[in-house]
Amino acid sequence: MKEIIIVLSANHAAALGTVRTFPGLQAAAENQQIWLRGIPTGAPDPKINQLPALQTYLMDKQEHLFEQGTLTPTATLPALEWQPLVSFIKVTLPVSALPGVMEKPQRVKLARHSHMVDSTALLTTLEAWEEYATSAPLIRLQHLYFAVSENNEVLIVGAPLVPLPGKSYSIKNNILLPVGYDFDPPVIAELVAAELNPENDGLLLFHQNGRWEKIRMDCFVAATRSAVRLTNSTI
Amino acid sequence: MELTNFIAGLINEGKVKVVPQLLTFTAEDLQLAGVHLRQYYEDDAQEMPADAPDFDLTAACWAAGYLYRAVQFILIRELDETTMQQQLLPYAGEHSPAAVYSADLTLRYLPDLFDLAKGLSPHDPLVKQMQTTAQDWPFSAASIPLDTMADVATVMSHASLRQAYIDRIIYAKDLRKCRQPECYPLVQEALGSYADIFWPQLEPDWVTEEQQELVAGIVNAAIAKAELHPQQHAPSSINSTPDADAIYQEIKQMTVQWEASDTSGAERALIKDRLRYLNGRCEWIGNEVQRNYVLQPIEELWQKIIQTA
Repeated sequence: MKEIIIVLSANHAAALGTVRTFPGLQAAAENQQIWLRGIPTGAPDPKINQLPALQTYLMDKQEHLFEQGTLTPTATLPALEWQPLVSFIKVTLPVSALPGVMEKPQRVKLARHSHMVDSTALLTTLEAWEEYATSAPLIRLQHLYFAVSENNEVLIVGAPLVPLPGKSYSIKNNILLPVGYDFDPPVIAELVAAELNPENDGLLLFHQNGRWEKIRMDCFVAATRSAVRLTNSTI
Repeated sequence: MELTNFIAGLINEGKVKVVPQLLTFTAEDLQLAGVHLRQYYEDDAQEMPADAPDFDLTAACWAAGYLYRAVQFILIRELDETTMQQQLLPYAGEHSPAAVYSADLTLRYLPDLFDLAKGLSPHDPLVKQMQTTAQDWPFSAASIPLDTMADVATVMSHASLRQAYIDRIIYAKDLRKCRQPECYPLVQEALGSYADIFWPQLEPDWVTEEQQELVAGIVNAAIAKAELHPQQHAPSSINSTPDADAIYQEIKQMTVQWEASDTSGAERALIKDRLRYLNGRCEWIGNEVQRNYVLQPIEELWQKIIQTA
């Protein structure tokens, strides 16, 4: 036998991502199905065996298709427009998302404070961020993470910050406070963190009026040029 | 499919295989290799600053083929210098920005290969051959040491290549290339106010030890004269309430400097970083009226900066 042919449902196209880098694989689409060829016979990689196949064939040199365990072919390879798998499925990078849902309001007050701390986060517009990040020196981006809200606001976390207009925040106990403000009284910071972010799996973003929102850590993505471009194109 | 598999391995796994004979690539192989390279170009261009140069298939395929042959010459040691010169031919086309970037898709691995070849035999003809190639393709060979500085005019002529080249110099912390006249101002502009964090070893040539001692003496004298509160150390004055007048005055001076036509890119980068810093600092001005008054020229300067971009 020459090679193995696998047929998958088009709904499972994403599963091909696990074998995208395998050399020699080619794919073609037909009638809500994806045909995959170029798999040598023998002992295929386990990732090939894990594909959610509708049908697996062995194919001979005459392109006859044999179901496994049979001696006679049940079909021949249809004439399809084969493409290298690397071209057939495009790579998509994770984009950021900031949940717009406000958590339950808490009676927490902020007040002006005189103890200065460094800014480590910036809330700015997606437009300004994209304009900057897509042309910025790499060294100014590599240490930053960002998340974008549905109303096109971007929260950028890391220091040194980028030179953009916007609202500065300081961070402590995974709580982001507007610079110049602290809790009233300041001593409740740890209590607030324990109460509102018990799993410590996000950042609590506080506004000057005491309202807050929790941004899960997995909403942040590394500040790469591609991530910024793709984020903007998907919003 | 030797070249195609070579490219796929290089891009996807960072591992390559070559055959032990100098075979000619088939037309089908070259065609499929081109498909892979174009796909890689589309992915990679997303990471390039500004608008990446166009794709140049000829340059991309030449570079991939060159790299393939170079790997063969490292592994097949019995091949002689004459064969090497016949096989590792320079690129015959124009070194346009598109050619520079498309060739770089694979030629960016040349420095790794260079280190490997040099480790095997520093005086190997292959090492000299690669240095010649590095001279021709400085964008891809930012970390290969050269006897003479390469011509980077093509790289500097394209905004995307220019910024990416500066990124590579900073990443490699290459002081020699950084000090090229066309590079140093751009490195300064990239680092802005944070050269001490991003590249602490970067110092202008003119700062001698004697000058450093002189500056240290002035600073120490100023600290000795300063009126400090009990138990307050001078550097902790960062936590004192900001002086609204001083910030206001500095913002006004920065605005004048920003509007001046002879302000350099590096100076503008410093202004932007300083403005971001002062923008945050003035939030600690206790008096609300004073604070809002200072925030106004800050906002105006941001608008000027955005309009200039």
